[in-house]
Amino acid sequence: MEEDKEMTDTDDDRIKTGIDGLDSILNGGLRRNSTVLVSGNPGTGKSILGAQYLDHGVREHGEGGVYLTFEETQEDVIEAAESIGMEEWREHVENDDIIVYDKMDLLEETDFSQSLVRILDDIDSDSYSRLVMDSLTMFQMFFESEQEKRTYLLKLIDILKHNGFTSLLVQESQETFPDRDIGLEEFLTDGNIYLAQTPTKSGTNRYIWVAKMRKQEINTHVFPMEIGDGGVRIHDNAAEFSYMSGEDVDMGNEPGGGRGGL
Amino acid sequence: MSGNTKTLADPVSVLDSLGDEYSARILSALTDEEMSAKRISEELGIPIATVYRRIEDLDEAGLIEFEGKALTQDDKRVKVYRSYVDELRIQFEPDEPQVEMKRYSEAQRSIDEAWKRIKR
Repeated sequence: MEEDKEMTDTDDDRIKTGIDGLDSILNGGLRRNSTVLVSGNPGTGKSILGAQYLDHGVREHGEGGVYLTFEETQEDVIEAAESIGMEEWREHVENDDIIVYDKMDLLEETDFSQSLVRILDDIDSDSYSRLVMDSLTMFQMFFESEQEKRTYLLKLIDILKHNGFTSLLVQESQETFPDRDIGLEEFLTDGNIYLAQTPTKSGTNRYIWVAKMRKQEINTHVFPMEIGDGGVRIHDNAAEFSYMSGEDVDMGNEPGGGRGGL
Repeated sequence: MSGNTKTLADPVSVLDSLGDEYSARILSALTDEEMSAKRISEELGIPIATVYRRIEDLDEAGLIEFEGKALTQDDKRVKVYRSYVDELRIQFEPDEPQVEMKRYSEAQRSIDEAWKRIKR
């Protein structure tokens, strides 16, 4: 079964993120059952991207979603989605098309195991196939050593895949784009998407970079991105933009550039 | 979340327990799940009186914990024990050794249990 899927990985097997521009960068979408890391500094749009991914699944594909957040309440998540124009998010939650496990459910360590058991019960039913964990950074704080973090991240990825999830794991990063500090998360996940922003005179320039996606062709250019009504939008016309030659943009961490961060 | 490490009060009895063949095997068995003395005796083939004594030693050393009373198939209430030892760190100080125990956390346990379920 598993191998068949890999051999016949057609467009239909792809999980569409529904984010303008991103699916074409990904050549059709995410691979089914993959676990993808979405990294970026605070405010770069990681959570919005996650909310959009689940919203799209429900609206366009009838796929239920699970949103795990260690940092916010369910109401915070719904309001954030609504504020950016995802008006049906609350309805999805009320209809159980999206299940939110918020910080109340997840943060107490004694409840953590209970929550996980509950989550696994929910996902045993075939109706949920998209998952967002916001954030992996918080999940890893439950574990002490690097060795433990690694072991339990691998187990988590296994559990998600086995339960038929295509998952986005959100990670708070320190650097704009990784340079020296590539963490083990980057190696253990199937794919890495980085989000970045830089202030300009007129506002904020935003960028997205799909750096790695196992077993699939991707466009690894850095693309400009916008957050507006409806959420994240990516300008995937590569001819119009080249981040690496953009001298006016001081992002730091260019390969070989050696400049500092923001 | 962290703070799962504690110093054990009686390091010598810890080392004593670890050195005993039966105690070491009981400790390993209790890492995976809670068990009663009777079940330990049956599964590990250790005489029941010995199991009781070793459980007492391990409990005093702080290596296992009394989990509560469970109902057996023939409706008896029996004491069950479990180990939460994830790692032991032994340091040999001039006066006496020091043993630090890192406890197996709830988060570890929950992920491990979920993971075992999918591997079955």
